[in-house]
Amino acid sequence: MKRFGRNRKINDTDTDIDMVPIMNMFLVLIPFLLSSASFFDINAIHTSVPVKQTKVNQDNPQTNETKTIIPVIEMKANTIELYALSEQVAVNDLKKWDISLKKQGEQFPLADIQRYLQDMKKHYPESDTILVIPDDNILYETIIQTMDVARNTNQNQLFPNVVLSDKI
Amino acid sequence: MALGQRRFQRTSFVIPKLQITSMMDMFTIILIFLLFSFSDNPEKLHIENGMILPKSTSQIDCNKDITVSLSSNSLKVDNQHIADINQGVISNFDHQHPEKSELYKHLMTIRHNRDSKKDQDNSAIVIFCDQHLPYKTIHQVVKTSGMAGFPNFQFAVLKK
Repeated sequence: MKRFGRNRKINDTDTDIDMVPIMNMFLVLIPFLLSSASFFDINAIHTSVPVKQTKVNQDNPQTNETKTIIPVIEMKANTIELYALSEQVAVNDLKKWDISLKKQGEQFPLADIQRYLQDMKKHYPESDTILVIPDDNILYETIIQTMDVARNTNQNQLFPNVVLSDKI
Repeated sequence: MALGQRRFQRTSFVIPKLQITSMMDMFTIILIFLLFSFSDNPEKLHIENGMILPKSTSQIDCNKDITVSLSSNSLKVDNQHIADINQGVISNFDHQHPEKSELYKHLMTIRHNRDSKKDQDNSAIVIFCDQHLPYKTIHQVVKTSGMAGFPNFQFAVLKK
């Protein structure tokens, strides 16, 4: 009985977990992770300037699904002009895409531009290039916002190839 | 009597245990935070003081081949100062003759070096530009770069 009581007393003593190896591991891991941590996530938007292209003969009749069209966003101080260019679409059909949107306060109507581009993409799904012509005083931030709207919506891709250009 | 008491106190002194539980908690939080911000491709970038990059939804990684940095007061190519910028105007830059500019000469040197090394020709210039700069400043750089044989660009943006 006496022996049993003594054994119980020994088992009741607190057993401390040795944390020192865990601390050592943390001290190694933290500098390593600090050196490879990225606090700024920098991405990129691909763009280009127009290049001279040779004309390709296309004898086969094309439907709207295979025809390509280049939407143009002309950013002016107070308005934004939207129109389309194409060698495969009749001039009268292209004229249907001519619209002008006014600035809403200090902001360009990006939602309206996106709706316009979505509609165009629905009509000409093969098109993937867009021309952006900003005015001299348009801020870079506004250009990037417009490019974002032109490249894709939340659901699908619109015109991923953005070309910055001078007025044509 | 007093001496005896003091001796008794000395013998009963127990070395205090270091309480590292709170330190462990702190390290665990730091470790989790760093694990979330871990990048398998960490890159060192030198961004000008006061330069604010615009935010974008773009998911494309930026390959820092040739970097052109456009801040509100200076133009740099690969961290080398090329020209001053004053109110959006690049100093010593002739709009009619961009080929006479320092930027053009510098880019042409890079182009020649790459041609001699038979490097890949479709290299893109990465433009780090302050979000408040007007297009006329960017246009000068873009136009000159195109003339120097670099028609493809990447605009560096911060992930939204």
